[in-house]
Amino acid sequence: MKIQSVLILTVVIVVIVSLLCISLFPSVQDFMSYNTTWNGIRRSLIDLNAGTIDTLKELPAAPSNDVLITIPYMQYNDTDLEELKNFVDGGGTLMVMDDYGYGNSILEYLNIDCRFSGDALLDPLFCYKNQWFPEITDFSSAIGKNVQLVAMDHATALINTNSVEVVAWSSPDSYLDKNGNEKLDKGEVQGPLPVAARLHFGGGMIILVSDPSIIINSMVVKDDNLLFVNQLIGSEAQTGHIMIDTSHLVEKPMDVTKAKLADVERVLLQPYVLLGVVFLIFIGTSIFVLKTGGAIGRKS
Amino acid sequence: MKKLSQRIAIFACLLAICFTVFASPAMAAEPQENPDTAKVVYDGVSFFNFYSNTLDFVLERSQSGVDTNVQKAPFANVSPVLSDYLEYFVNSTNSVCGLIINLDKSIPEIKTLLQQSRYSEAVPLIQNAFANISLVEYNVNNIEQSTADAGIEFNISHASVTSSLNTSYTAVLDRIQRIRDLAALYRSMLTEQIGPLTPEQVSPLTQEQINALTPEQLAKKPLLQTQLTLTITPTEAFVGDTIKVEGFLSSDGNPLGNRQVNILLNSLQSLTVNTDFQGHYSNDIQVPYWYIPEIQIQSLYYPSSDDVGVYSSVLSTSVPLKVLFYEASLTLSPDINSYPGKETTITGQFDYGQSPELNPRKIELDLDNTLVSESEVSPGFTEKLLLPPDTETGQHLITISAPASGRYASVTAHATLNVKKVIPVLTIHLPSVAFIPGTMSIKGQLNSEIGPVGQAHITMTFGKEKVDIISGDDGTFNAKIKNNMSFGLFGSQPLEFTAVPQEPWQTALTTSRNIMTVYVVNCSALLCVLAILGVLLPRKIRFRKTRSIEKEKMPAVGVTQSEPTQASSISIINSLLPEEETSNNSAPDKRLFYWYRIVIQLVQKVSGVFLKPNQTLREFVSESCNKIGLAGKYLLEFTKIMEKVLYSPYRVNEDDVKSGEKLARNMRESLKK
Repeated sequence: MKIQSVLILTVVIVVIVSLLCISLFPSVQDFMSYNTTWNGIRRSLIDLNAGTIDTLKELPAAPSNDVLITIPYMQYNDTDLEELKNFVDGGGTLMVMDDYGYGNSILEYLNIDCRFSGDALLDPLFCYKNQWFPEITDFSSAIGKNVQLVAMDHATALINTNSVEVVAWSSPDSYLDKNGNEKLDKGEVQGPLPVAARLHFGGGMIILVSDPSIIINSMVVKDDNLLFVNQLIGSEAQTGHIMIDTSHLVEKPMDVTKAKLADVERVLLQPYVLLGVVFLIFIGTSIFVLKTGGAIGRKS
Repeated sequence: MKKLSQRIAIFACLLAICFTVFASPAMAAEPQENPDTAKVVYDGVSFFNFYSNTLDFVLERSQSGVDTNVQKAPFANVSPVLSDYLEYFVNSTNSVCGLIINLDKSIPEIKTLLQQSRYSEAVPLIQNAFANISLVEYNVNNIEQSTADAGIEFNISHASVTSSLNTSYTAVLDRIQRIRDLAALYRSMLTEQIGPLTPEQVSPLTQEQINALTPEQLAKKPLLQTQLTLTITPTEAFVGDTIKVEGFLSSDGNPLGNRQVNILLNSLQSLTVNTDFQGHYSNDIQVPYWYIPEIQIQSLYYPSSDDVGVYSSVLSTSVPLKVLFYEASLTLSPDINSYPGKETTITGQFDYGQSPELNPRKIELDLDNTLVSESEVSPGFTEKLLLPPDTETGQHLITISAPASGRYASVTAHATLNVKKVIPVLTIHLPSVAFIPGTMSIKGQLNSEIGPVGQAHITMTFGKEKVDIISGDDGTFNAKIKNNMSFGLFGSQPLEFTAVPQEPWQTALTTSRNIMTVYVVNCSALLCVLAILGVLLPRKIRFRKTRSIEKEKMPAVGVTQSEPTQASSISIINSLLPEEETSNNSAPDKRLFYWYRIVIQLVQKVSGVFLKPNQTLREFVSESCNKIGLAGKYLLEFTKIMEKVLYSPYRVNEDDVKSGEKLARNMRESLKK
């Protein structure tokens, strides 16, 4: 076998094996919809009956009763922010779930005073396992009596909440760890601290939650987390489509490839494209036969 | 060298494959903490701070604060053992808080009763207060024990004095001591108020003495007993009416004149009257606007000024007054559905039964516990309520209350308002087939259960083409949409339709309809391609073969014996002619057959007459001669040579080859003309 042939064969095998690996191995990146492990959101998508959108341009023109959940782990450009504003103005519900990301840029653009603190919210007593998992026990009447406990994972708190309706608070034992030494020091803000709030904006509503991790696969099943999210977005009322924006999540190359593969698969399965591919194969085969020459069925 | 290169290449390839298979899952990082594998940490400082915080609520007499902590305690992140201690602690603390709040109320009350010489009323309160203090002391001991047990669990004895854990633990003990001091203070205050029961008594009261306490012991010396009577006229009265209260105050049959008597309505002081010189008292009082069936009326005398230490206090027997008032029931019937930004109607009906109707009557209308309007209405009424455009869909609470007015008691009724948005219904007329390229005309109408949807912003998307229009006042719309070129042949394509109504009570509509689409240009192009491939390709193949034969080199000189003849002309020619080009060194018979084959092919191409199976060469020549004209002469001559070669033992020589070649060339020149 020639070296050239070996190399070509290897490239083909590597490409095929790579594609198979990408397809078969689950994504392990935070908040990825394909990720079925502890830090993905696959389970939430199913439980909330939600879908994902890869770009904010996919937002519906008439978003009445539709809900968009965004986890702002990447910076928004002006076009994105305008899309979000139009969505809420048009009657949609925007749920911003942030801890240490770019949620404040959305609030700034929408001229809302409230902010995500960005400092770690720690609660050494009312927590799940340790203080990095604060548990929320105080809720306003808007949340309903069925929600008693919400577990968070590496959360922050909301500040400047005068202009919003706070619906959940951390315990008095919680605090914002400004200097990151995991201890309550003088000058550090102590609980109760707002962790979820909402406000009417334009024709719609904006909901702020200071921890996106409450919807990851391992957390959404804990305590009343799922019910809490449902209550916030008002799924008991006439909620339209629930969409999770994946365009502002940090994606690893594997996730990007996975998404692209899924896109390619979707495109390839369309009847016209399938027809085109068959046509191309036909043309290719014909050219090959013509170049090779000879007659079909002729004895040599 | 070549083998080594091959081995290196194969090794590199295997390495790449292995890397691809095993590397993928390990690439991803885990920036967040997995809750299932997180380390469990119980924090003693926050645990004891929670104790201190709860005890602070007790010292602040904040029952709600304690209740909150009691509710939260089960959610604390503590070990099972500590959880038991915590439960014990919060229950004890809750009891202590209730007892202290009770003591705070009863001690001043006892003081007042003792000042008014109302010893018989004071005795049970005093006994109860001492019992409460004992309970506080008992529960504080439990709290202290729970704290000590938790301290052992957190190894408090090993913690340094200045550590946060020790500081928080000490803070709890400090608060426990403050509560214990508070209980002691209550005990001393009560003891001080009672004073020594006997002149000889110096030590605090024992529990036995408290249990056996009598009014006489509290009075310290014998008092003259007093009697007080009370009558009311009438015993039934409407709210706001006046009734007469009268009675007689005496002591051992002797009237007590010019004394103050208090009239109590349901134990609350209403007014004070003075007795006349014969001990009689009398006055009119107005029945308060308390819309309750009955009021208990009592009169009270307690000694003041010179009577203190002489007469005992007295409380008359309780006389019931039946309170009369008019009651009504109110039923509400809101519209089945209400819409944001639209007026809704609530129908109400007061039912007064046998009582006279109150007309007009003032009512207050609340939406979700917020006052919306006030008005005066008749017993049967209809109220209009304009819902704000931003009203959330779902159920809302409507409350209509009519405040009390004179003899009419207040009445309140609730109803549920179902607020929803109307979903428009689309009627659309589409062509059954859309041809691309082209223009499609679309007509339709938007309606809803409350009428046509006018001035709605409609967006229609078909492929990449998008059209925005506004519906007319009657909900109708008319649009033309271009069918732009795209990849595809035919099939179903969706027409996306979105309508955003202007009115806040209408919800947006998003729907789609599939239209059979035919891409005319694409279909035509495909047909052309198929035609090219199916019809022209075989001819092309033949042409290419002919050309390749013509390019062959001239045959060389040489003599060989020909093979035995065959019956079929085609098979003869095919078997005798080799596939590869004939060279000048080939045998003469091969070269001769080569030229004859060219001649046959030329004739076939020009005349369109093909050599059929089992047809003789002569038959073929006679059939094709008519169509090739003069060249037929050369063909016949060449065929005769071939017949001689094929059907006789004649062996081909170089002259035959030359004459064959000459005939072939002549024939080609002739055919060109």
